[in-house]
Amino acid sequence: MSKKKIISRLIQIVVVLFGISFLTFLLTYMSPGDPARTMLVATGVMPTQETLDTLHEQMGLNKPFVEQYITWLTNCLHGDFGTSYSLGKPVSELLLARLWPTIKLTLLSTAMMMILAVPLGTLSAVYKDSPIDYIIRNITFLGVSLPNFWVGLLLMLVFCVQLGAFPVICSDCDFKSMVLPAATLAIAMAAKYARQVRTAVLEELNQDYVIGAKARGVKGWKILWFNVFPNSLFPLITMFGLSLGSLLGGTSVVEVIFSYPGLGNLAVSAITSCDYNLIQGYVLWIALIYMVINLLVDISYNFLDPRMRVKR
Amino acid sequence: MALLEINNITISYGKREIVKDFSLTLDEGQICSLVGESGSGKTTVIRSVFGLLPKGGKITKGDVIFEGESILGFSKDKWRNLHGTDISMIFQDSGAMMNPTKKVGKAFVEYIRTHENLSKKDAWDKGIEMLERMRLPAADNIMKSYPFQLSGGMRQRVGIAMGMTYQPKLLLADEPTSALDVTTQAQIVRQMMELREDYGTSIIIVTHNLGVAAYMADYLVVMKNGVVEDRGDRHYILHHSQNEYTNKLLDAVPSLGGEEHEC
Amino acid sequence: MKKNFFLKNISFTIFSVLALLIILAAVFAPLITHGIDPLNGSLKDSIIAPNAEHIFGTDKMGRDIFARVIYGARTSLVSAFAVVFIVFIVGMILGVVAGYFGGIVDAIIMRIADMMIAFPGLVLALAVAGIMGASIKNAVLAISIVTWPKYARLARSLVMKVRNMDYVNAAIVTGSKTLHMLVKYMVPNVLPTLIITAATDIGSMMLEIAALSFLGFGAVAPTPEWGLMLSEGRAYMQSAPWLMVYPGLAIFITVVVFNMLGDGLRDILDPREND
Repeated sequence: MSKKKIISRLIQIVVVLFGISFLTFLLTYMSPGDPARTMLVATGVMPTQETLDTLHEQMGLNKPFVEQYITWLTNCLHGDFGTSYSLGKPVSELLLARLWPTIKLTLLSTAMMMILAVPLGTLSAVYKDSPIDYIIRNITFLGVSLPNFWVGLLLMLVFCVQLGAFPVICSDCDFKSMVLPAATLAIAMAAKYARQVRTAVLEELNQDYVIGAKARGVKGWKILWFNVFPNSLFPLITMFGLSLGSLLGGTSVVEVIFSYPGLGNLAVSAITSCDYNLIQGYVLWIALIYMVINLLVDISYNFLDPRMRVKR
Repeated sequence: MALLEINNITISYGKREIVKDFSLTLDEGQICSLVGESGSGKTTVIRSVFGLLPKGGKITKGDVIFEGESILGFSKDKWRNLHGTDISMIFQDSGAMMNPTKKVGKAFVEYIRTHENLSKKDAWDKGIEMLERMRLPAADNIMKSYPFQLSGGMRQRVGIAMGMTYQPKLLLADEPTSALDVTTQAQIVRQMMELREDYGTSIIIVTHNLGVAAYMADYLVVMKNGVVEDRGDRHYILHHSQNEYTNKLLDAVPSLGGEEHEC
Repeated sequence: MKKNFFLKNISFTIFSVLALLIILAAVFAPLITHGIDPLNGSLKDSIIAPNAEHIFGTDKMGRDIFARVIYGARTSLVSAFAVVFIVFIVGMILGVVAGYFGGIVDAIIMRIADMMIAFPGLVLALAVAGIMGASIKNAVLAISIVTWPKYARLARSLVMKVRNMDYVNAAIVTGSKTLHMLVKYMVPNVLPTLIITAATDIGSMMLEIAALSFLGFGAVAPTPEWGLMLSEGRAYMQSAPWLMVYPGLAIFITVVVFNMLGDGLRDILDPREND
């Protein structure tokens, strides 16, 4: 990827962030909830018209929309996303505290997903149109139709409630309490990825160099694992970057089910309690993380694949 | 005893017969050429001799005898041991037959270590030696390049060098010069001719270019739509063949051994 | 001829029959449930395990789960079809307009689409649904807002392919009105691909709506909706697992049927996809 392209991508990120911020701010502006009331209730004060009015004044809520937006945006640019109405703490601080658990969860589920999807997809590609392929394809088809919140509940029912093997509520976020939420995310993703791995491996298996290697007498498993397989990872890296988005969004459902103290859980409670500052902060953060990851993935793709990296 | 005997084989994909009743005998040190347009089944023939027919393809009739043994009964392992040692194949674009994300040297080492118990370093040196023996300049640079970084002619010569590593008794060449410009073509053709002189290699070359075929081969087989249309030694094909199709192909060759053919 | 078509596409036939059955079940819900009210139960029937009278059991309010699952099909189907319909129409119109007119119109529409696509859909849908308040209508809107760009991009690329073809230019030169051009030349050109996409998307739209409802940003109690039912049943996981088994199964089966149907439809309309 050329420098020019990277710069234009960076500009695109800024534009998208700008647009997203405007959209969420507009939505909160139009929404029926009153942040001042939320804030007062959260601090245990009985809201009266008088206190509400003063608070509106303080928070700048009676200023025109554009002015409110610009003030908020300027603060955001300085790293100040405001204070959470319901929790009374700075938004950045709250988000930062929840970021790491979500990243841990994302990484663990990705690892689990790969352990499932890569062998299944490869097997299905290598034995294309055989009974194995047929079975795997049908399983993955059922897998993509599974609601992940249902899978989460069933896993919880079986492993936590019936077998008591895992804690129902994640208290201190150790490995054990991450296993089930990660597995829930992994199952849904694995079904999707197994199909993509299959397509990617099939594509590579049809390349001429496979015949070339066979013609040189190279062993089949060596062709598969040292040539076909690494090459089929290139397109998968890009797909992985793109699906990180659905993963970031998908964690909220799973985090709620398992009471996991991550970003998604925080976002859901922020939305339930009309904590607009927190919601806006969350959306912007996720957008930023998502796009930066995608950019890094694209850059790394160019770095990893010699066909992109080396000049002809 | 002939090195290779192809006895009346029919090759089918499912119920479709791609090649019908094909026979050919190849002696040691002989160069034979299969000529025909694309779709004539010429590539299918050498692929079947090489035991590497695409999925679904099968020899449904006849037999192929290599060094007195029927190849039809060869196990997967037996084939693997033959490929790249006793029988080698060169393709239209040898560069495309190498993993594009690996350097040439890596593919070479992988290949050598498949057939010989060498350390990576020794295999690398052997690769360099082969490239140098094929008179490729800057062998070390070539080993450290990706296939797509080399020119077409260079890639072909690397392909030949690889194919000749174990001095195969039989070299199968599938359109080895078709992707090259005329000057490079001549270079590759000459180099392949030298293989016979230096190592006594028997060669089957598949080409649509009757000029190249006539220059290289002792014996020619002209194919069309999966059947043998005409066959004979070089002199016969060039000068005495009455076959309409052969003559049509000859007419398409611009210049051949000083004779001018009008189109 | 007709018979031949259905025999040739057995899987498509089977799944269209199944899909039809699900739709019929939703339409004739009162008949199937013998008039049991999905919204009201008597508290003395609270949390009864599946038996002859209540084949799927009852919930804490004494409501019959079977009736609620059947009525839930209405919510799920109507909202999923609504999303697909909205994004189909909006996406097609914006995409065709962007592709046909190009220039600044194209730039504005596509930059907005890019913005939505460059962003994880469910996160934005969550925020939108949450900010606008919980209701199935808002859930439908939220998912539509994040899904239309996909259709607009598709429609645009298809229009761009034919925009400069000779027959199109000939039609313009001979004085065809713009609206006529759009409706007669552009729309028919994008329809098949968009229909395939819509058909394969129905299942995932159902999943997303159910997910929003599960989180409390979609259907509101006491509406019978599968995602919401699961979320209500969560608290009784140990004592009454049937509360979460049947609604989940209902989502799963419905999504499988519609996914299979979409796949089958794609195979029929677009044989190139078949490898």
